[in-house]
Amino acid sequence: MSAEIKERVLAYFREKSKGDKKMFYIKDVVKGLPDVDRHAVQAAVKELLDEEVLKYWSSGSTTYLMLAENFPKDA
Amino acid sequence: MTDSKTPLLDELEKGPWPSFVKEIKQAAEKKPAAADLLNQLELSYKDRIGHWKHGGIVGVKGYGSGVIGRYSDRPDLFPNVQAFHTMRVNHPTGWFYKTDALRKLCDIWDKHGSGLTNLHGSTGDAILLGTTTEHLQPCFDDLSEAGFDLGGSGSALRTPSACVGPARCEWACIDSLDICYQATMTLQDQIHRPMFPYKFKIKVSACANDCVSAIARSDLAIMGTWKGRIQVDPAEVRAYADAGLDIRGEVCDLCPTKCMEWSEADRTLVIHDGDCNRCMHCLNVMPKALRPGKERGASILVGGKAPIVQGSLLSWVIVPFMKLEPPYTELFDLIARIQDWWDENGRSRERLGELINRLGMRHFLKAVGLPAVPQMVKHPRTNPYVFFWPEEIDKKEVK
Ligand code: HEM
Ligand code: HEM
Ligand code: SF4
Ligand code: SF4
Repeated sequence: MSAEIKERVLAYFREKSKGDKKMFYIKDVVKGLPDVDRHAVQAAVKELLDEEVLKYWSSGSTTYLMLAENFPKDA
Repeated sequence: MTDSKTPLLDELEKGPWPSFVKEIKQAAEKKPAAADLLNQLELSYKDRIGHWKHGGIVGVKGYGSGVIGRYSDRPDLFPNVQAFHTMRVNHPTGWFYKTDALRKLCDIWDKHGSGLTNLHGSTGDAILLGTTTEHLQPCFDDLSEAGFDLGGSGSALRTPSACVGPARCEWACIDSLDICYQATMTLQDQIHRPMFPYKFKIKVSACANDCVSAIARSDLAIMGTWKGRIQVDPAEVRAYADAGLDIRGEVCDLCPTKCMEWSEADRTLVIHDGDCNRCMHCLNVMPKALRPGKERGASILVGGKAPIVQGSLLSWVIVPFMKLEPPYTELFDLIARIQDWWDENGRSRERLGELINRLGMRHFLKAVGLPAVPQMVKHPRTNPYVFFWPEEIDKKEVK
């Protein structure tokens, strides 16, 4: 179950990152999987962060999520 | 004209007051980063724009907050501040350090960073200003070794903070330090792993003097207060009068609810406690004569925030009185329900107070399971309308 959600979260990032926009709010991700419970999406995102497949990007006041491969090199 | 590289900043060293320019110049004697910091700031003063880029980096392994990435947009001119990240260190509750802990903190920062600190930032944390990407992890490891942890940043629970409370203050109605510490320990994951729509702040003041400005600065404010009568020592009241205090003018007339009377003839003070809103004014003026009532607890408020994104808000009462005793289960359960509702309904970058204003108090109250009470009326006597749920209204036949 959780593996499947992780797979779908990842698919969401891959699909949405095709354009110029690479950074997403956690709320966007939750909205992207409307049939999945919000807490389960958050748990899946946390696991993907632990595995360093996803990375946090923070301005200091606001936190975004992105695919690790898109994380800026100079940052 | 001297050959100073920072003539504009040098102006700020003039005058009898402390100067950050003087301090940073002192740091610059040891640290090239501090020198370039000044040089870049001088350019900003000249160009009238900031030369910092938002970073993105969040720092250390397993954490999504605690580091605020900053880069120079002119690394060609100022190579020593090419990366100049801030580390937020969770301050000890109530800001009580032993000097050896402070020294340790400074030694670590001399080793890994610019040596510049901001003790303390407005969130409360000890702010270590300026290090490079390579130093983040080793610096964190040294901080951990010394018993420190990073605080919150980004869309996370920010480091909870509390007034000095019972450690030093006779007015404390609750143990603000213990509540803050327990919140910090219980909610670790929320601090280090941002998953919220935006920042969330919890602050604890042990009385309504509100020394941590919880009302103005926190999404959830815990404010010590009492039930029942203010404790009055009549002899001490008279002693204040004998010493020249104008009790009518300075105490009674400034009581916001006008619930105090001073009789000059028999030299007694009467308080109509039923009308007192526990503002602390009279206790502040006559600390020897008046003490908080014996039954202590806290009011819980929500919604405060500074002006960013939308306008600033002062928080308002949602629980007039909660008895707060370890392990504070009632409080932490309420916080969990509030955060869950906000997380579910809040838009990205929408603070709790803004969300409540957008959806309405009745939705908020229903979701978190609190009753509507008179203390929630924001501006008493100006708006008498309460919007009830239809099913709560008893239908009466109109004759
Ligand atoms: C020259 C004529 C009038 C003057 C100078 C006048 C003056 C005032 C004043 C000073 C107040 C108090 C406002 C406050 O404290 O907030 C008041 C309240 C009131 N007046 Fe008049 N008034 C006049 C005519 C009228 C008339 C003709 C009516 C009714 C037909 C009326 C009905 C009321 C009512 C119901 C209130 C209470 C409003 C409230 O408390 O919400 N007044 N008036
Ligand atoms: C569509 C028509 C009306 C509207 C929208 C209206 C609206 C209001 C509002 C908003 C208030 C202020 C309540 C407050 O915040 O204190 C008020 C008060 C009042 N209105 Fe009206 N009103 C209307 C018609 C009338 C009429 C026709 C009368 C009298 C014949 C009237 C008499 C009063 C009085 C006496 C008060 C003061 C009530 C109090 O002080 O408790 N209103 N009205
Ligand atoms: S908020 Fe009240 S209890 Fe806390 S330090 Fe200030 S005066 Fe004392
Ligand atoms: S605490 Fe404030 S409201 Fe209460 S009696 Fe004193 S001055 Fe009045």
